[in-house]
Amino acid sequence: MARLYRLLLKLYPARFREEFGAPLERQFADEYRDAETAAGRARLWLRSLADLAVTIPAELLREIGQDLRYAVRVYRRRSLTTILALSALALAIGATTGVFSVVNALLIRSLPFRQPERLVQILNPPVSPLQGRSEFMRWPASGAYLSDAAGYFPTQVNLGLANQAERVEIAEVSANFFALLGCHPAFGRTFAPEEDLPGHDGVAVIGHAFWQQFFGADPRVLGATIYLNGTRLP
Amino acid sequence: MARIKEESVQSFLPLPLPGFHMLLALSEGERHGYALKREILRRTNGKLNLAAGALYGAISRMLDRGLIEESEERPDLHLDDERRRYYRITPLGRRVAQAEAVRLQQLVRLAESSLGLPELA
Repeated sequence: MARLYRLLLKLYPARFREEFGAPLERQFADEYRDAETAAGRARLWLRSLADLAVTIPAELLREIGQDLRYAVRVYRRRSLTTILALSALALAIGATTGVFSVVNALLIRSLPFRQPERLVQILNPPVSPLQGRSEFMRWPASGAYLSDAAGYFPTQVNLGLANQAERVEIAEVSANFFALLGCHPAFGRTFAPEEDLPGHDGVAVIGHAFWQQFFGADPRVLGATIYLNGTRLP
Repeated sequence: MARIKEESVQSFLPLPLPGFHMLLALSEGERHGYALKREILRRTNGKLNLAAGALYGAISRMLDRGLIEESEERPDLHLDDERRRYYRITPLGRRVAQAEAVRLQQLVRLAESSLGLPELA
């Protein structure tokens, strides 16, 4: 029994345990001896466990408080050293965070697309979507190195809604864009195969932030009308 | 100088009840932790039963604040256990206990004049 109590005493902070571990243990032994019946000893255990549950966190907090006060006193006395150390720490933390953000984005976290390791971006493709849709669609099959290709043309337009207008960044894409990336919309649909043909291309897929900003996260957004550079969609 | 000391005594008030009882018990002589606990139990008719962690937590805080100190004097070897620590009240602890008693006395007087108190059995 005393051994179990001794083990529990190890949960106290080291300084308190070193100073009061032995008397605490001795007191428990005294009280255990004085509690003559089994019920009395059970009550002592319950009381001791409740006591440990309250006093261990209290002593840990007190220890942390003492350490903090000591640290503040020491560092206040050496303010120049403290400022230098804090500046070095701030710089190091900032640099580490910066480097990690880049490494995380480039090397650790993969793109949120199906088979991101197979995706490439070609800035000046030999066959541009501007040369003609059917020619662009045939282009991947003409070589061995691409299994599919989608067009992506970022631009800025004037967005018009029922009661507001704003300059926004959008991208004109080929109809197979989302199918190629393997992305599925949260609700609604992406583009049907023919929806990049003139006359059929009055459709848009909007992002989550856009949905929240301009439609107040209204789930009835599907089929709503927007104007891009004055052109009505849909 | 005396004024500064009085201010420092006042800064300890109000004392927590276990701490006040410990100072009162130690003002009559040195005691080890368990004896202190038993004495407080006796003085309060069993109402204040300090568990070991609470008792030594309070002892630790009072040592830090200079209200009590550890005594180097030990009883005879055959009566002693080296795991026991003996404590005694310091002059500051005595002054703080007195100030707490005065504070409680004033409080009781105030209650008496406001409420009137029943006779103790």
